[in-house]
Amino acid sequence: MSALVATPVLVPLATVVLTTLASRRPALQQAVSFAGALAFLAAATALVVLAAADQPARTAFGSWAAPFGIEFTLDRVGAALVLITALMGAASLLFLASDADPGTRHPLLLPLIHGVLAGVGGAFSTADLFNLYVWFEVMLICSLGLFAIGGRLDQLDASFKYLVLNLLGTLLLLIAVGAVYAATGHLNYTALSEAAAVLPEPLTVVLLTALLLAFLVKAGAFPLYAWLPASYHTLPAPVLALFAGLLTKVGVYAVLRTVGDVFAPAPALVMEALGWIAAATMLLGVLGAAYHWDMRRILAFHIVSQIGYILLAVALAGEAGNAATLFYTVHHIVVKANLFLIVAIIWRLTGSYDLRRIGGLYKLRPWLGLLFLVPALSLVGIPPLSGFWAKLIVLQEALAQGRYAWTAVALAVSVLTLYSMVKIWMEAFWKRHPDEDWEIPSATRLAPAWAATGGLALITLFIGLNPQPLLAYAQAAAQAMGS
Amino acid sequence: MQVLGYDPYISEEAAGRLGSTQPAVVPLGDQALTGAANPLPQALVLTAIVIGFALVCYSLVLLLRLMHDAHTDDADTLRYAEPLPDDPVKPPASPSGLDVRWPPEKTR
Repeated sequence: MSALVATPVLVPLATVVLTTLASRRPALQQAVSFAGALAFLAAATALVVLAAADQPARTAFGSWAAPFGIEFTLDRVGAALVLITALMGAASLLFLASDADPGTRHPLLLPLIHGVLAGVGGAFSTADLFNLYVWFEVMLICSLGLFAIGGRLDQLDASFKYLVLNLLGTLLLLIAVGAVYAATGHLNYTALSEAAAVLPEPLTVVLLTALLLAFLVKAGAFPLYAWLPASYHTLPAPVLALFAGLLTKVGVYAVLRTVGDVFAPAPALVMEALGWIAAATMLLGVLGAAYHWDMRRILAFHIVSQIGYILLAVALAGEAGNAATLFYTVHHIVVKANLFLIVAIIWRLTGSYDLRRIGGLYKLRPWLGLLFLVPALSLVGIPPLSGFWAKLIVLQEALAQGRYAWTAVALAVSVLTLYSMVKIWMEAFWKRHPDEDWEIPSATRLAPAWAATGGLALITLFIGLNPQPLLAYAQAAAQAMGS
Repeated sequence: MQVLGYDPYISEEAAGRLGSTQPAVVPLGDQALTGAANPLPQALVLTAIVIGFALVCYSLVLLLRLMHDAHTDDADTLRYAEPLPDDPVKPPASPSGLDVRWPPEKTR
């Protein structure tokens, strides 16, 4: 069992080493990478099974007792997110085998992707604040590598902006962790939550503000989201989908873990501020998306907007809010990554990401149109897709707590999200292609891309038609938090 | 000259990282210990220094490459990822040669 608890880190790290060693033989490297992804998936499934049976895998490394050693604990929240991480990793790696915008085939591409997975897996499994910072750094350095690996000028420019703003966030996080340690003398989550209970409230507010500021930079929340739409659209599609699905969600998870678990119940002032930040994030994200015509940039702004919804669920707090957060996060990771992948298929078939230069796809590829509508309408929240249930439980709780302003913003943003999705659908699928001589390319290698996007769409449909298991799991997870 | 544009930014970041961590962590160690020195803050700072140093190295290489390719270090002209709009209403299209090439090459 103690071997299993480290798998979210060990399996991707082992794959990093093996794929690096095999970097001169692309076929072997590809095989090793798939094997690593499958092993990760299997280990993550085992962790979820353990967590669901109320026997969360946990270990303290080096056998140092709890408050001193670094501890890994995979409770329901952590295990579920590790499983979804493994799933996204597998989907992206599968998509990478197609020719829909896979980027330059650099020998270090696969090792870096697995490095990102190791960082994300570590962040979801650790029970130690400083260790969380280290995993953020692992993610940062691997993602920077993936940004710059293509070497195009816009990618270098984007990775520089990504670097500067994220370095600022990391720096803030380090200061905040230092301050928390100074105030409590602990870094372990369990020990911290005991120590936090006796802290004076003004000090808790200051510490939480520092921590949340750092996490919100990572999550891409208002007003610190500028790095995200400035850089994401330069990435190759499978990497972009992986980042869009996972990286910002680690920031959100860290926020949830801090205010919903370790420091719970957090001071009302912090939660009030978080709620307004969430509302502003939703609104500005969706307005940015409405402006753009490049599909990747539209979707990058929608990441920001959806982060707002998840933060709103965090800000509502309590069991219902925390359960809604987990449900929304799981649904959102699948949907968002899938949208970026489908958009890459559109690019392969039509030749551009810019909606002004493409069109006419519905006539030739009606199934792609339907496939796109599954995650697109789920993002908007049309029943019976998964986004409907996610938004329903968030807004139900917001209304139950009398937060009418936040509810109104959330509903208005849904309408604007629908506008963006319909815009993509009308322009890419419905209108005629602006170039009369355009023909759909015949020599494409899209089978892996269809498999990856189809599989993710099936997950969305499954959650949508049968939300009860995930909902019950999320509620059980929320019950265990903050106690 | 080119380095002047960005280097203070990065090195300030690095200095801030190291400078601000030590005061935040070490005094606390003094608080918590009883007689013996608490090794934990040192371990934490050392980890942070190592990570910070790696990031600074990376950022320097990235900067050199960026300045070499772009022939500028002016943040206002570095708009390759986000071109400025030339129309008051419509967003800019990405300039040719600065986006992923279509159709993709046949070989991997």
